[in-house]
Amino acid sequence: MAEDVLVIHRGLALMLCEDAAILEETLRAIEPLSLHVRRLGDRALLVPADEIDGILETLEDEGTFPRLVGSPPEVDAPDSRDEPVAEEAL
Amino acid sequence: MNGRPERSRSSGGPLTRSEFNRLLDRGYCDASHRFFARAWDVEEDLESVAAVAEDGLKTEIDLVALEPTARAVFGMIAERRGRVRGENLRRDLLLRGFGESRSTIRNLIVRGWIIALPNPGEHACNLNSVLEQETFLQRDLAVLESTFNRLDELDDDDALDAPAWTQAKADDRPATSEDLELNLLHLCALIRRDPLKLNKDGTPNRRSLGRVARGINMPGSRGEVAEDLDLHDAEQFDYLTFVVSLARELQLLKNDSESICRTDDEALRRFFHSDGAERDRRLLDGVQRLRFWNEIDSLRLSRSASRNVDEDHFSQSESTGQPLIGARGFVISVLRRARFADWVALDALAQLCTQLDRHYLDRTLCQLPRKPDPNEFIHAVLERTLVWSAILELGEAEGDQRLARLSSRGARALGIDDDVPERDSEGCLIVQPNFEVMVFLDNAPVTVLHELYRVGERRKLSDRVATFQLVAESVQRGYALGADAESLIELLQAHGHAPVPDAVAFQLNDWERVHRRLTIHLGGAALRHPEPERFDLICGQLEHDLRDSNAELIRLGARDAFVTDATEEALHRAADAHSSLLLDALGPPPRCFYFVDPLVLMLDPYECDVTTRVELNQIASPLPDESSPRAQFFELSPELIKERFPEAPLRNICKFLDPRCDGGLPAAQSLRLQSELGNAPAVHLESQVTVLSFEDLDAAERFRNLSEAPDLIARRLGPTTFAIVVDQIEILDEIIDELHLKRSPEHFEET
Repeated sequence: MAEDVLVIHRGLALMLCEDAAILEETLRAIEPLSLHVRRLGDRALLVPADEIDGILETLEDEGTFPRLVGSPPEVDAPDSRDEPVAEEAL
Repeated sequence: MNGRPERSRSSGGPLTRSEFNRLLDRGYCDASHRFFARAWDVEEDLESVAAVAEDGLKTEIDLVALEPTARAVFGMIAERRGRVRGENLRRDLLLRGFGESRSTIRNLIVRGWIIALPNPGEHACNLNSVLEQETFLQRDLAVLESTFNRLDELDDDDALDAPAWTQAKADDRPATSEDLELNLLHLCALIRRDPLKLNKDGTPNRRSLGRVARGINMPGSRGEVAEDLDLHDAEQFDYLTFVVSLARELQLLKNDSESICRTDDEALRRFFHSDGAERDRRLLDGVQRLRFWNEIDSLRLSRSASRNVDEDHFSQSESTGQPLIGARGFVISVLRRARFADWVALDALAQLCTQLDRHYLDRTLCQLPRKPDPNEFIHAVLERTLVWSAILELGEAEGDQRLARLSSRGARALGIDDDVPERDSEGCLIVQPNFEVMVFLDNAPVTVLHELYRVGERRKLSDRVATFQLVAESVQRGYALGADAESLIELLQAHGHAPVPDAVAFQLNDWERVHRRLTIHLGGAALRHPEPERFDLICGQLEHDLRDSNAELIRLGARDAFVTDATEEALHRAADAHSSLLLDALGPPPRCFYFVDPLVLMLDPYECDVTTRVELNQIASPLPDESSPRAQFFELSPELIKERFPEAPLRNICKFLDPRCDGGLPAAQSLRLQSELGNAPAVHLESQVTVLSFEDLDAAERFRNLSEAPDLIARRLGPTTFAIVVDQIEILDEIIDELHLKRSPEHFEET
């Protein structure tokens, strides 16, 4: 891989918190969901855009109504690439 | 008098001599000249025929002696100042309850008392053909000026005055479009918080529906149903089903197999913030396209004494209304063509629907499984669908005559009349210091109600006042749906009877501050670059390129940033201008795993997507001593894998690893994983084995049948291959020689 590659990672949502305390609070709230959340510093969380609905639902249940900006990206086909399967086949 | 001014393509007024002369000269053919001469009993020359237009008929019409429909025809023509379009004349007579008048009009034309005029630009019009082909209704019909003057003189005569419903009495409190819109808003607001559950047969779950239905305002009643709600009352349940179905057609609600939930707030905003005429048009369109409710069953329900009703009617998965969409559209188109402004007899309206295109409804409805009667269907649309949707209002006249008229918004929805009085919305609400907002519904615009439903909770609906409560949760939810404190306070001030209390304004701003502590950008692209200085330049260029767009670049550190719109052209340019790698969190995963040892893999964190990185942390342990910033090593841990995938761990780990390895998961790694995950494949290793293989199956079979074979063959390896017992090799040699078998230097493969 080239050293100076620019990585553009699409299909993500950004959760931007006012401060580190809000970020910790948010992480605690969504922890039980077992989502794919990548933390970036003290204020930002990256999450696949198709997982944001579950996050919003959980936050709203806890009385948090974040400011929503933009619109979710359009998904061509349902993605189930990492959904675990139930039965052993091998 | 009923009827709106007619849009006539002709000049209007009775037929004057000069106009008649022109028509005789160019518009009518010779056969028509003879037609007039015969009807008026004059000579066949043009001069004699033309003279009748000025001198009048030789024999005056005895208006009193005419049968009622013929008198009404003249009455209508008198009202229309001597000239009327044939089909409009027939339509208006139908609406007045005179029934079919086609033959009467025909007779009056034959007698020359009414004249069918050539259409504009038509030459040589043959009145015999017009009568024969019955096309006189598609023409202007006029009376001679002399006849018209007589009608004018007799204008007050009862014989000419068609009955009008001057003593009509409207229902006490007809359903209004405003009530229906309030119900739609209420239903959508509550269903957003608590989706409406559906039973297996698609009917709304009564307990779930009960939670949202208490605040519904039933047509013709005052205030919310509240304690009077009874979902075992077929009519209440039916009306709620109607509103839910209508909300679905308006795309304010959507459903899955188990529930009905609200679509995004934008759909609600688009509908309720559209201009009044457009909203009425969409409402009417939605009513026509109702798929999950039908008026025939609805009307039957209300007339049935039984409380046990067919639940199919309420099902939100049974499209019982869909087959009726075309027929409903037909009835609506008849209303549109009827262009009536005042009360008309309900039966006459229904008759008009059957008379205008007698066969359409028969054809359409007889294709349906239950073959409803056209008359029953028309009455169901008029009395139920159009009344509940507030297009029509019902009333009564003396003698229990049932009447109907278009509401002002109904007339606007049909495109007949745009004259709907504007409401003065100033002072339509009061904001109280206890965060209650009282709204006076008579002059509250629906946009204000939409906003209050977005940021508040409606607590009460009395006759014409709705009370909303602003609480932290509801207001922040509203902010999440797009509201903001500044606009909200501005709206409350603009429509308020008194200024918004300071404490309320302060709290609305503070709730916004709390709400903004977490911002979620719903879709975009994360940017990463290992070289901070170079990345800074790239970000600077992107910020410059995005300055005129809605997207923005948010810097998240020296090596990370986020662009709030991944479709931006500037982002594509940046990708083209630099060595770049595109990852998509919603697409196939990148091939970023490289196995270097059994169960040990290496990855470049810059090549790795978020999902892969998070999942990897759950199934592998990092090897920090061997790692560098651009080459990180991990060892897969069978314990962690089993923890992550408690069911089918081997299958799931292979499913995870396979698409992330170039060329797929190496076979050796999958075998190792199989071993480590508790079901290691068993193998047997055997050395010094003598294998005898035959060229063909027949020979192999014959060998197997030798009497010595059981002592020679240790195991049959395949159809033509045998493992030989080690200490029997000499005997086998002898048998081969004795049987003259040909020895081959090569092993024969199984076929």
